[in-house]
Amino acid sequence: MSAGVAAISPLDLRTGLTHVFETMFFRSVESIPPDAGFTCPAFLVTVGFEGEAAGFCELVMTAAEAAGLASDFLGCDAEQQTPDQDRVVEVLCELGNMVCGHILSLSAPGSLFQILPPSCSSLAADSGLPDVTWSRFQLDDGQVAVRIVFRSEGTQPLLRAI
Amino acid sequence: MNATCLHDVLIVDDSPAMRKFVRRVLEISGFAIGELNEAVDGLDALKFLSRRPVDLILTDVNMPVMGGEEFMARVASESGTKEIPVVVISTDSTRQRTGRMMALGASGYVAKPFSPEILRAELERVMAGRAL
Ligand SMILES: [Mg+2]
Repeated sequence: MSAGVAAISPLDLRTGLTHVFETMFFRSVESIPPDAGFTCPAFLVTVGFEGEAAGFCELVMTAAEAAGLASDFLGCDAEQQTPDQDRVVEVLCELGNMVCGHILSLSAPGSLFQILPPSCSSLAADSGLPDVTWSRFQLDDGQVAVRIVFRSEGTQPLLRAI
Repeated sequence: MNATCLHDVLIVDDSPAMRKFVRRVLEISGFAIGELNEAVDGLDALKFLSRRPVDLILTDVNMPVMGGEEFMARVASESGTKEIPVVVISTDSTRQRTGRMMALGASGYVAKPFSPEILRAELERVMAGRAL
C-alpha cells in the first residue's frame, strides 16, 4: 500500500462522533446524506495530528447548533446570557479535539500520535462548506459535517483503509 | 488533604472550555471536593505546585509549552510533588499513550468522552488506593 492511502472507516467515524456528542453534549446524532444542504452561518474547526498517523480533522457546524452546544457544555442556565463568540469558539475547539482524538483512538488504538492545538473560524456562505466527501450528521438544532484527511508524505498507512 | 477529607484538586488543561467542564462535572459528581484550582499547561501547574500542594492532579496530555508527559515526569521526580496522585484526562486513549503515562507515574486515566460517573469512579479508585 502506498503511503497516504490510510483512511478512517465510516463506522469508526460515526461511532466516535456519536460517543462524543451523546456523552459530553447529550445530543443525539443521525447520519444524513452527504449532499444534504448546509446552512450558513457556520464554524469550521481544524485539528492537526502528527506522529505515526499524520493529517488533520475538520468539522463544520451550523452556528445555531454551536451556540446551544456551547451553552450546555459550559453549564449556562436559562437566566444567564448565551455565551459570546469567544466562548463558543473555545467549546468548538474542545469538540474538535475530542472528535479527532477519539476517532483516531478507535481506529488506530496501537499507534502513537499527538493532537495539535485546534483552530476555529467562521465560514462564509460562498466558500469552505462541506462537499460530498464529508460525513454529514443531523443534530437537534442544526448539522455537523466531519472529515479526517491523512497527509501522504512520510507517513506510514497504519490506519486501515475503508 | 484537609480534616474533613475534602480533596483539593488542580486541573491542568490548555482548553478553558474543558477546565470549566471538568470543574462542573466534579461539582455535580458527588466526589469530595475541597478547593478547585486551574493551570493552563504543565509549566503553569509546576509553578502553582511550588507555592501550594494539592491532594489530586487532573491533567491533559496535549498542551503547548509543557505537555502532559513532561509534566508527569517532573511531578513524579520532584520530592515536593511525587506523592500527589495524577489522573490523566485525555481524548487520546491509545494503548501507547495510556501505557506511557502510566509508566511515567500516573495513577489513573480517564478517556474523553466520559460521563460524570466514570470520572467519579476513577477518582475514588485512585484516592482509595492512596488511603491504603
Ligand atoms: Mg489539550
